[in-house]
Amino acid sequence: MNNLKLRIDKYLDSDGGAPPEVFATIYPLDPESGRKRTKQKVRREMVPISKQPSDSRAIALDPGHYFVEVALPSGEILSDSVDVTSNQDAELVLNAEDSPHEWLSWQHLVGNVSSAESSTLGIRSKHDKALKSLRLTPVPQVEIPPSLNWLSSPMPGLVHTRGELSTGRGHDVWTALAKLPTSNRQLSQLLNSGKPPQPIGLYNRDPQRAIYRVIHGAQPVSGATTLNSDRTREFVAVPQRNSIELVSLPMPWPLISSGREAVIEIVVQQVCNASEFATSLTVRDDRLGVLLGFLSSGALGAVQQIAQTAQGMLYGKTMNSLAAAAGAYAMVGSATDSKEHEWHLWVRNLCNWFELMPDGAIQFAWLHLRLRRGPSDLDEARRWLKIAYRRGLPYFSLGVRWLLDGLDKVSHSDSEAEEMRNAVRDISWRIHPQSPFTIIRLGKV
Amino acid sequence: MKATVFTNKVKGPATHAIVIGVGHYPHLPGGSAKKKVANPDGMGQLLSPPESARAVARWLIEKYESVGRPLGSVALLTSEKVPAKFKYRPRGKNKKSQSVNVALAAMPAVEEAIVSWRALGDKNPEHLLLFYFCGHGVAAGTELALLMADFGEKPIAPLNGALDFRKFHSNMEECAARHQCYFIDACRVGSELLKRNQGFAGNPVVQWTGVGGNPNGQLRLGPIFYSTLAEAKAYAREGELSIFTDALLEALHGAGSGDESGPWEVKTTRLQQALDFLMREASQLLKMPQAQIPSSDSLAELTLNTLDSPKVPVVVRVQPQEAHAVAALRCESASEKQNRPPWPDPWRLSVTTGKYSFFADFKKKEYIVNPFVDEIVRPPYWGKPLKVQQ
Repeated sequence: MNNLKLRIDKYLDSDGGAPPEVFATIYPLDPESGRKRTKQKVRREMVPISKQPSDSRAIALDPGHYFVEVALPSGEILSDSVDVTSNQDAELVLNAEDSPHEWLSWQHLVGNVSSAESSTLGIRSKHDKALKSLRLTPVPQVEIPPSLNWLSSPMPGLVHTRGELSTGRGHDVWTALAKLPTSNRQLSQLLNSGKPPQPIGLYNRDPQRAIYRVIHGAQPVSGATTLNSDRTREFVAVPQRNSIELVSLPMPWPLISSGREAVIEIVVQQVCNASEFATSLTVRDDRLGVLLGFLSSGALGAVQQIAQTAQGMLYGKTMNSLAAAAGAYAMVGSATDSKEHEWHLWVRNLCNWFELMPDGAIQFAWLHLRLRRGPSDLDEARRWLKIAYRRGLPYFSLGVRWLLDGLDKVSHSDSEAEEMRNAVRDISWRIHPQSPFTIIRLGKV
Repeated sequence: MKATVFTNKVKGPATHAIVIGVGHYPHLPGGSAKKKVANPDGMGQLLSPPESARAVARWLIEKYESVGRPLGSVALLTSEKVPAKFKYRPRGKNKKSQSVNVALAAMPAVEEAIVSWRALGDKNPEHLLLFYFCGHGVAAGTELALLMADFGEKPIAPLNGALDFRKFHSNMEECAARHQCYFIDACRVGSELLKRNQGFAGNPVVQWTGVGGNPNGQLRLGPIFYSTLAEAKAYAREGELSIFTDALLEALHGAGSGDESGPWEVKTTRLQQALDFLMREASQLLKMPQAQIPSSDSLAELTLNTLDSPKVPVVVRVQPQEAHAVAALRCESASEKQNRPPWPDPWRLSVTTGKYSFFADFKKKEYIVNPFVDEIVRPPYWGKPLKVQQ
């Protein structure tokens, strides 16, 4: 058995620490037919994304011909074949598309921004006839804001305390957000309890998009603005022409590798029309950030990878509860049978132990709804959906969809659940559907 | 008129499909009805959906292979100004082409067809149910209304001619068939109509009853493939297949397949990767204002169809671009040869999986070495530049 040294060649702006990794699928192949060799299993291995040859991952393989394939969260697929011989190690470097700028490299990796030209396709020419037949019309573009607004005194309900939740004194954020005026230009201030929000300056920009970096209560890293507060969650408002995009930040987000806080990168892009969302988020986490990118595109292609990593996230939940919640969405969403599994217990713990994170209760309710082993599952689902509603906005946008679908199913002959369903529905219309993290448009579109 | 255009007696698990293509909307601008919708939100007549729906139904009948779940039935509903018959050639020797009338894709017929389709799904948990829609869709956040031909027929209740897709999909959880797959080829551009009607997005047809459990302890897997990301327009070339349907058929024909577990199988995971590539390719070729990125919102993995020899999209170009403009392409394998003349864009081929040599040939000798590469071509696509030495 010899080693295959494997690496994905792509520049990534680093905050220090190990390079991020994605799964590679390694097929043992018949070199003539291109078919997978029978009796030999396909392997999945984590491989680093790095420009440094020394970062290559050594994978022990039997001699033979192999085909290696990597799907990046951006949708780009890299593949090549390699011969592993019995007398020396083999090396394979898969070249990924370049980012438009080095400072956009993370956003490019997770698919939030695209290259000017695809290296695979290399298409440049214009097809005027095709354009005419498609009847495309240019649309005005929305300006990129010079700064974002950090809600340093968020309105009641956006952020709860344990005391509020345990005594039932928590404000109903769903109805409060729906009742905000649509024409008020001071929406950010209203969301900040009437006080002026604090500006978050640009990190970098080009004519099409800008990057803003933030970090939770820590020493600044990689030019990030420090958000110093003792609150349990943070929000940012991104001003647009007649509206704002309210962004729930996934923080605190301690990195598994070092324990320090991850840099959260917010990108604001010019959009083709006013109904499009301008904002997207990336967590610069070498272990988990890349997998979160798969969730953002809704690509089920990474489900096995996410599910595997999800187990790790769940088991390490006390360290990073938000990452554990991302894993739980993958586990509950990809479950195939109604047998008891050990991870069911972890989802329950996530729901019970992290009451300030509404996602856990939504996931536990959905687990009951999906298992449907009897009437008690429906009753439990109803109970946890109501608890989730009172806990406030989910960190992940999938939670809003699951909460709405779940309340739909339990609201027959339950007026309280029906009212909650209606309130969630009013917000669900404003949710950024592609963002893994909750982003809500408020104001006039 | 019954919507079913094809049936095949299958003993055991089978695949049942419902295919809907709405092009003619009588109550939208350009439609045949006198009464028009008061605020059409920019929507009008479409030419592509009936063609696209027929192509999907034809592909299912003529090409769909599944060892475990052969095709059991196809229901087809369309709407177009001049209704066309549906023609297909049944498989088997000496089978003659068939030409059948197609039901109108208005809500009453759609409802009847969905009820029958759901009833088929209730007969066996191992059945695979496929749902395909091409036409106008309007969205508000997570809500999506699929508009049928009778959208706007009642001026005071235009959405009576729409299918509430979110609830329909969610409530299909109670259908016994554990494997369901949905393809939605429609705009998901935001609409005030849905917001104004407080979540009423049409008739879900299937309601949630709250009774019953998971047959055999298997949970429902019901991935949805959308032609575009939410809040985006879906594009089509007039009178041709829509861009998404074109990509979908190419993916089902091979680009979306893999042989990880033995035979070539199209699984939903791979299908998403293939669609992503094919739609991005179309977006770039047609210089669309936004990438037509397909999306799915399920984490489920299920097998759709099987293939003997998948066709794989291949994109080849010569670097630098000046050399590409004067190069001719040869693509050769032990059993296949293809040639392409000089062409300003990258060459686009479709080949069966296997080992290939790609050559760039130049008539004049301005480039000294003819570049070639020997490569294994496998789904979802192959695409590399041939680099010349000057």
